[in-house]
Amino acid sequence: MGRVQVGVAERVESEQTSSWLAPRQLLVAPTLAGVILFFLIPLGTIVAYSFAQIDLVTYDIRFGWTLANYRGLGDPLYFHTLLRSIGLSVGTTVGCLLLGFPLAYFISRQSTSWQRILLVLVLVPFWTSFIVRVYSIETLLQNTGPVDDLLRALRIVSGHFNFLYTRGSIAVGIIYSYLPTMVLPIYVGLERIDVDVLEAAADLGASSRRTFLRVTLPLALPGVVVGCLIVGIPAMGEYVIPEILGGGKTLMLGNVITAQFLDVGNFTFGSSIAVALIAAMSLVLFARRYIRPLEGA
Amino acid sequence: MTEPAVRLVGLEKRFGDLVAVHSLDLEVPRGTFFSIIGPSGCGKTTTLRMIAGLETPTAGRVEVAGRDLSRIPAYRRPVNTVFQSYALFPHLDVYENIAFGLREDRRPRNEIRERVREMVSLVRLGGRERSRPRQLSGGQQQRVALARALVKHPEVLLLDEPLGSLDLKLRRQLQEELKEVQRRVGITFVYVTHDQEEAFSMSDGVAVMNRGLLEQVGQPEVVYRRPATMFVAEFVGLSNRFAGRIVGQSGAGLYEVEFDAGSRVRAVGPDRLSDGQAVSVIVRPEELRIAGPSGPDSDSSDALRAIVSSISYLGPSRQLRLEAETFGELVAVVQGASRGAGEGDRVTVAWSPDAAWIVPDGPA
Amino acid sequence: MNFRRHLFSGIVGVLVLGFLWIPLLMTVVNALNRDELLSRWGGATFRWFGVALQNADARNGLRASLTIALATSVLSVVIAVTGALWWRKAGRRARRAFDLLVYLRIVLPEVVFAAALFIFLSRWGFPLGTLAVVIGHTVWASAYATLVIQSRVIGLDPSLEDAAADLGATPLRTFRRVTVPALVPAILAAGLLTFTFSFDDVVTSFYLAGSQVAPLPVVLLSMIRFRIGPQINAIGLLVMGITIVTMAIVLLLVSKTSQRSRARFSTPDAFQQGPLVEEEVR
Repeated sequence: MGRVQVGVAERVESEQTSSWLAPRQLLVAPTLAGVILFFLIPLGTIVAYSFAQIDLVTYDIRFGWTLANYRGLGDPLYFHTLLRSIGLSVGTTVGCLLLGFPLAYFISRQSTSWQRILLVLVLVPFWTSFIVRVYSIETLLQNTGPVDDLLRALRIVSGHFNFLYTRGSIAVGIIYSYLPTMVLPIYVGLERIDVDVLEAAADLGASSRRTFLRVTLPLALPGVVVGCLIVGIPAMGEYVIPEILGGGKTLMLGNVITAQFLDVGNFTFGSSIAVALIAAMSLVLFARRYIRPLEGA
Repeated sequence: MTEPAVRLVGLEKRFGDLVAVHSLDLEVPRGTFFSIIGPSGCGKTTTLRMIAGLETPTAGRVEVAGRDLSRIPAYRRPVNTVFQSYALFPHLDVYENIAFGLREDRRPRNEIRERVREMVSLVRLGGRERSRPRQLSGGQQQRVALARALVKHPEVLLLDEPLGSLDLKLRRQLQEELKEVQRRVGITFVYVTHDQEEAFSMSDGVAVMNRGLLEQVGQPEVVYRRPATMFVAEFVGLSNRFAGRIVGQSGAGLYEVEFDAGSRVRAVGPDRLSDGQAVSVIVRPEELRIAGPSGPDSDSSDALRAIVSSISYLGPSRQLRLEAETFGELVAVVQGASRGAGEGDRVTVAWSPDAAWIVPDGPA
Repeated sequence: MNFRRHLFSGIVGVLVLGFLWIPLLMTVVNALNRDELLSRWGGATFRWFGVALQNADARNGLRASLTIALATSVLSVVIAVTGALWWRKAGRRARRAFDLLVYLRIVLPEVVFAAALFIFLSRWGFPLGTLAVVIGHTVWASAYATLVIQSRVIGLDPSLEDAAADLGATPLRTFRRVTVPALVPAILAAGLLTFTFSFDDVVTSFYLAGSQVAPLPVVLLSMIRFRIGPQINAIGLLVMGITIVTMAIVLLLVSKTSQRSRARFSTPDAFQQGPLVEEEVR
């Protein structure tokens, strides 16, 4: 038992559980019960359903291990929806990044009081009702709306803009809704970068552009990754935005799943789509493990 | 009743593979100011927490005022603690903080009011009863913590490095106040600290711990002048240390020790040391008498010739490093400012046999 | 404001901010716009507020949403406080499992969760309606509440509870007299946060509300689908008001508690080891 171990004693003492607080384990019961019963088991149910078969007339479910539902995913219609969802997710993530990073950077370089004001300005739109926000985009982009008027006045389009109810409008809607979610983690990551580090880089001869590329950017990378994850993953499963801005046509996975569950009643097929979505999401999360070394110390 | 205030019997605490406290046996006399000192990680805080009931021993038992507290949880022990971080309740004011324990005992309101008032004046915080902890200075917070623990008149008051985060001057002042309070109130204090000087200045008794083991227990002066082990010797102060061998005994506790260089000194030591036993002899720097080459000790067989190699001014005293014949480097501490040897001077160094103490550890 | 040194990001930043605010301002304007077609400014009017208030669906929806949100926030806070307090003294592996469960609830797309719960409840004959919605909301809202409480729990001085026990308080009384008061700001923040999330939620409500109950966002959704007109903006404005006030209070409470735990506000490490940053993913 060497010196090193002994030095640890005092620290271990403070981390150790106070032994007088005995039936502590009970505390986690509410969380555990709620999560197991209403989160994990339902998810398990959905996985089970995806391998089952349903009679659409009687709604009887036969549990087996069939891949019929997954084969249904190969149908061009659904496969395209899957691709489109992934595509929109990636596209909007990039869009949020391109718009959000400069904003986050700008905020992080201000004085503390200005930072607070700007953050509130970013957050307030985020706090207003989600559905109202999406609706406001619809109003904005509709053919009788101001954007249309403006574009016609500037003679960029001759007839109507007809932007609404396309993939583009969905993308705009997603970017609009998720932008603050991208800005926040990037801002947090950037804000931690010590001004001293940047000054040291300048001192060593780096121009401001090189400082940015070789110092700021790498240090900001972890925040960027987080932002991309919490935008990209939920975006894949978006329902409301494609519903409103896509005109009710089933353009993304979220819509397809909901249609299957609530309109058609094909629980088993719907489940397989949901599982596909989970799989896509897990892939992204898993891939992150390989990005982690790049994030650096 | 001469029962000790605290008795620890075979007390042990393990955290997995780590043994924080090894089979500790200790008795703290009633009404004393008792300190447990040692380096970080030596187990002194763990021991304190076991007395308080905040840690459960893996073996052994804790007795307070003769009562075995093993099965009694912390909230029912007649023991109170002043914590290192003070642990004042931030959402309560000073009055309510102090009254906390009394409210737990369901004392009547009048009694609470009186006892809190008494404490507030004892620790001299009058007028600040309605303040919140965050409005108080470090020293004031410490006093609230003290009052809060004392108001319940515990059998034993435990203090876990309560002065750690204060500056030197404030620390000294509070040390005196703590000592004064203990004297007035008469409660047994068990004080844990890594600051040997602090413990020595306040305590009636001291226990030195190292790596979970008790190295020595005794009055401060005894621990300082007659350390039982090399660890204690080095922990409680600077020392000049020589390794050697017992070659003879010339009286009760008086021995002759021979060193590698062939020289011999007389030194005192514990009983029952045998000839040939390997020992270390320590001499405290302040025990060395420095004199000029023709000074009073120059003919004494115990005097050494030395050259002053460097001097450090410590304020009220000076620390001299000397290069002595046969003994090598010595450190001496001399009171007084101006008079005395300068660098490069030839001097004689001597000490009385009583000041040379044998530690039977042997060379470590 | 520091513009000169960061011109490019400044310009983009301001433009983006504008982009964020314009649709909102439009909603405000249109709520007061006399012109029904919303193609031009027709003068100011409060008419749409009247229409909205007379809409029975909207009124019922508001009542339903308030009830559901209240129940959700209470349940979520209870789950969060108990969970966070357990987490505080838990071992490393247990903590990691707990954090994973929190993380999953936040990251999983809401559609998947709503569908799963829908099937699960239908299968066991549990009726859809208010209670089902509350359960659904609570499952993921409690994750956010847990994050908020966790970040406060970390900053709690463990010796406070030791001191309480030392002074004679039983574990239960310690909880009541020391732990809970110390957590109050975080509890309020978590409660209000989950209230807002629940009040605002569409997907889970849509799946689990059934035919008898329609929370306000669901009502709004059908109004939008069937193009019911400018009342939507009026309702939207009212809802905006509620959520803004609530979140403003949350912000005040959170800034008071996070003064002590600034170091905790780290992102990627937090995602792996400790509790997560409070992220609003909707």
